[in-house]
Amino acid sequence: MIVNRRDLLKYLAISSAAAALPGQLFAAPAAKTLRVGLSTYPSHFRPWINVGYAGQLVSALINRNLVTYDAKGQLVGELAESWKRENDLTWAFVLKDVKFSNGQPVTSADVKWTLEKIAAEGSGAYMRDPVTHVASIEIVDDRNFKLVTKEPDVTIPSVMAYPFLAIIAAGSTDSQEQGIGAGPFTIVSAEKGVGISLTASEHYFKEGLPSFKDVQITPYADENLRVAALTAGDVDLIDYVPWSAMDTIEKDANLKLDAMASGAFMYLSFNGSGVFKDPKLRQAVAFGIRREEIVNTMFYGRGAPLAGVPRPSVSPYYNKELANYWSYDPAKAKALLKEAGYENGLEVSLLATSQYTMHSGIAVLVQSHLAEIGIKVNLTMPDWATRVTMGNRGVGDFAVQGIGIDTLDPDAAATVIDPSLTQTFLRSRNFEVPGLTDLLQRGRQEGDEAKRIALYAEVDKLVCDNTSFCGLAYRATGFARAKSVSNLELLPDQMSPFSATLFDKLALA
Amino acid sequence: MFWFLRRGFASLIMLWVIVTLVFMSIHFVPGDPVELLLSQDGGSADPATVQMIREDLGLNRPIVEQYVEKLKGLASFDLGRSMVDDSSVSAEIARRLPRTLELIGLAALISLIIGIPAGIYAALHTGRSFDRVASYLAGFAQGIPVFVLGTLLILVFSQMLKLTSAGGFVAFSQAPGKHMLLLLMPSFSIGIGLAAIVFRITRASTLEVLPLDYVRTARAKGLGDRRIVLHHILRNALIPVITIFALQIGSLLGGTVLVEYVFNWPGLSGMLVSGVNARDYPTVTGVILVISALFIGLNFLVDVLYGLTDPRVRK
Amino acid sequence: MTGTFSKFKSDQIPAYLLALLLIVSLLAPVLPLQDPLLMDTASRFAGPSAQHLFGQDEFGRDILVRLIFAIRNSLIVAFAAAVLAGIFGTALGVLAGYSRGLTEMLAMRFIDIVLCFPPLLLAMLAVTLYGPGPVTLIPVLAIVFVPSFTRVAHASVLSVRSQDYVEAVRSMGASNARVMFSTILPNIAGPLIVQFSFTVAVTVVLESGLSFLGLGVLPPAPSLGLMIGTGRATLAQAPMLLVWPCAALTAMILILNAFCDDLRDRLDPKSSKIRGQ
Repeated sequence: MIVNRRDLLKYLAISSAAAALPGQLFAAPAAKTLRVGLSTYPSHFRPWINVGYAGQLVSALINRNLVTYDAKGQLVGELAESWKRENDLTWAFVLKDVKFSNGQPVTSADVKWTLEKIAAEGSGAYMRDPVTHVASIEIVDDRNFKLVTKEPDVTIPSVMAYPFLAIIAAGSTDSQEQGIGAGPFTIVSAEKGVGISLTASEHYFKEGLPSFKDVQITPYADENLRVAALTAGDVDLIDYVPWSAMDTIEKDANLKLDAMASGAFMYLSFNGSGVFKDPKLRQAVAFGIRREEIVNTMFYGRGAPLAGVPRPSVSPYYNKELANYWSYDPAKAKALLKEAGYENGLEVSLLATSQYTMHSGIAVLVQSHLAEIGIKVNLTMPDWATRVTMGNRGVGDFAVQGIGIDTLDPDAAATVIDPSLTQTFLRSRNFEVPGLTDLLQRGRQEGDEAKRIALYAEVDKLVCDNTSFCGLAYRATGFARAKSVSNLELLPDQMSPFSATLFDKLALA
Repeated sequence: MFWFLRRGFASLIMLWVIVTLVFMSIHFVPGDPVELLLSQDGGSADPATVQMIREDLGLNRPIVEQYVEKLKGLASFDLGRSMVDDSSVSAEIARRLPRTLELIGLAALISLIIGIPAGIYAALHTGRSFDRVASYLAGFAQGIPVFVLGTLLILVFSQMLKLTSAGGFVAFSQAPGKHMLLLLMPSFSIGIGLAAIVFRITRASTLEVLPLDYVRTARAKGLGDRRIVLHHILRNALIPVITIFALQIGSLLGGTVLVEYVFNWPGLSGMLVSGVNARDYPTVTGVILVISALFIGLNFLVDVLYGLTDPRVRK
Repeated sequence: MTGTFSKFKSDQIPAYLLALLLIVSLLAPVLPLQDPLLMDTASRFAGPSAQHLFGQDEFGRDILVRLIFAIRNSLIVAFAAAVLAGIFGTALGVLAGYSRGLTEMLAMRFIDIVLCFPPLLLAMLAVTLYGPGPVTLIPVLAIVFVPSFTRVAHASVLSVRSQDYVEAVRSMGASNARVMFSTILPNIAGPLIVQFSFTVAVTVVLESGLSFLGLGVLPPAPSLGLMIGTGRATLAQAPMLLVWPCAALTAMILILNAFCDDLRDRLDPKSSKIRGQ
């Protein structure tokens, strides 16, 4: 014996000793800290640029909008006490007596500065377009101001509830990129890709809130790891619960799942520079897809078919008949193909991305469904970055898309249904839907709700007939949390991830 | 001395070629950093805005001009600033590099602790059951891909046994214990394959020195087994182990992508992946440059050491 | 001495297993198998049955058939890349070793540069450059492995170029090309074949890693890496969906590695004892 067995075992023991130490020994949660496992580390904290879904959650912790939605989906004041439409063009707002997280009061001047920053050319702000509809901002006093629009615009209060339209203290973005907001927390430290520490603001205006002192955000880009982190007790709350894990989480006695069956949605956009110039072919596609199957396969039943123009079911603009317009009808699809002169088949290319399973999986399903009605689909699936550029340049006959529309105002859908808007990767292009732009314009200006409902019914009919947008499926939005976390209030439909007040009442046991 | 300078100069030329290659290729990749920055989660970028921001970032200037600018920056050791959040690329690399090195370091340690004793023991008992079992295990450990092993480790240790977190990172200064615990599974995933290699080389080179005269002499002198192993076998058999080991470590630099991905470890490779995904040119060139520089530096060092010990190399 | 090193030294099991893999992969399209892309979403995640021995995946596709086609795709990519790398790498190495001087300097510097990139990173960069899919994957993986062939060829040429038979052929007035490819090449074939088998094995690993990250083989085409990546998501519903491809991939790599060891012991007993580039 040269190295005896005992020595060897000793070596092995040293290397495995550390492995045997229980994780909980070190993972004892600090009291009153909410630990969040976030799907993405926001690429920056600039307040008005769309940093995506996860970025909005962080923004919701540090910033506040003028207006927000309550749990019933009604617009309510947040920083604003009230607002009213003084005449066709003028909206008068009154601010609450509230403070930014540095203790400085929120004034009309801050609102004016914020809106001007957003409207500035090249601001890159997500809401720049609608904010430029505002012609001037008149400061009456510290807590009263008026917005004067260029044309009558009834969407102003709901615009103010949009994400990435947080009111920031005037001039504060010069010293730190996120500026100073009026949210319940402030960022203490942030390290790219590693974590964000936040602490409660002592100046938050809601009595007794927030109910815990700190928030620790850790990004878990891999969805399986995010779920694993929650199950292992590393975090108390995760966003963007993968659909495949929802059943398991629901069954777990230590966890709680909050999911809304209709969240963001998936759809197809068309490029009219090829065969899809013909509305009959676009319709054929829309009628040739089994949407239930997409919901069941891609989203594990956690979603709903989208067979019309996306309208939240709680909204008065929801139209039951038109909402199911494109129900699966292969005979009709084939008839349409024949009418268009392609009864012997048709070959088209579909743009999607291989980076996200829901995009690539849907592309594969669409390919197999359309093959049944005689459309051969070739898939183009680069990584996401390339796909965005290709989409912007108009590659592909049609494309798989995913989006979350973040307001209950019917005008929101315009961005995906109107092919005449600026050409970007997420909407159809190179063909026209006669009269649509005009109708949408009238919808934005109509103050009377009944008339507005009628207008948007017309819009929806037009879109269905012309298929400038082909809905596929709503996908559920889900949060999962440990039982110790309570009072998470989901808003109706897909509003939750975009709600600024989602975490407001959250309590830790 | 002249040889030394020439070798150093060649290393610099290689770095320059790499910078040029990477710079050119990343700029011709489809995908635009500004469009991406403005199009997250279904946002759509207004072309006019994209244009303005591109101008702001200097992306509209001729590529040659940007290239010269880049070289000037690099000459003064400035890797530039990220296009996504305007943070300093050098600072970010300085934060991330130690984490990747730490991962590689612990993996190396694990592999040596397992590989060397097992290798020597197996060589001294060729054909016996330990040798056979260990050889099979080594073959298996070398065969199983890191992402498979990582996934299985997470499944068993954190999901089923709940012994440790599924992955993630905590700074050493914040919680040393937790930090080491989180480091363990990813290092193990890499280390186990490495251990197989170490085991095989150790075993083979031990077998080679065993019949040599000095070992026989030592044995004939009646020296104890332990002394023979420590003084004669180990010293001579370990030379090839160390050489190969150094090469393996070099190739691990930046080869930790999959492990960093599976375990959510915020190291250098992860930075490169997100840099590529966001088409953040300065980040991508910066990370690749640092990895290559380390690699070239390592080679240069090895060459110099060889050159010092063996004058024939210096021709 | 090194002959005792291989674990499968005395038997030929790996060779037989590899032959089986190759035959099944080659014949997969003509075997009476179901279409690997055929979906049946009604019976997704179904367990093993008479029609589907290994059960069905998240789209209701047959797992066994997909495994077979995934192995086939893997091997096609790996062999194609190894052949390309072998041709270019060997040509470069022979040229460098035979002509020496500037050619040698440039060739060796070129491979030094390629070697500066960790293989996975180089592949990732190239894949984002030209888009994922086999058409990109094969040349990229080929480039990654050119240096190893060049090194092996270069070193072998150096050791044989000054030997008598080479001198003899040269003095008979044979052209350089003739000397290089008819005289030297057959004499250095052993190490190159070993390198080839080794490249195939490593390429399989690399390809599966890239596919795991979504950068390799594209859906709906079956790939082991891709199956493992998606299997992770459905661990709770169908753990076998993860286990099968993991097992298949590991087994395939083990077979290839064992075969490499075996081959090296036969063809190239002098070569380094270590697997590694």
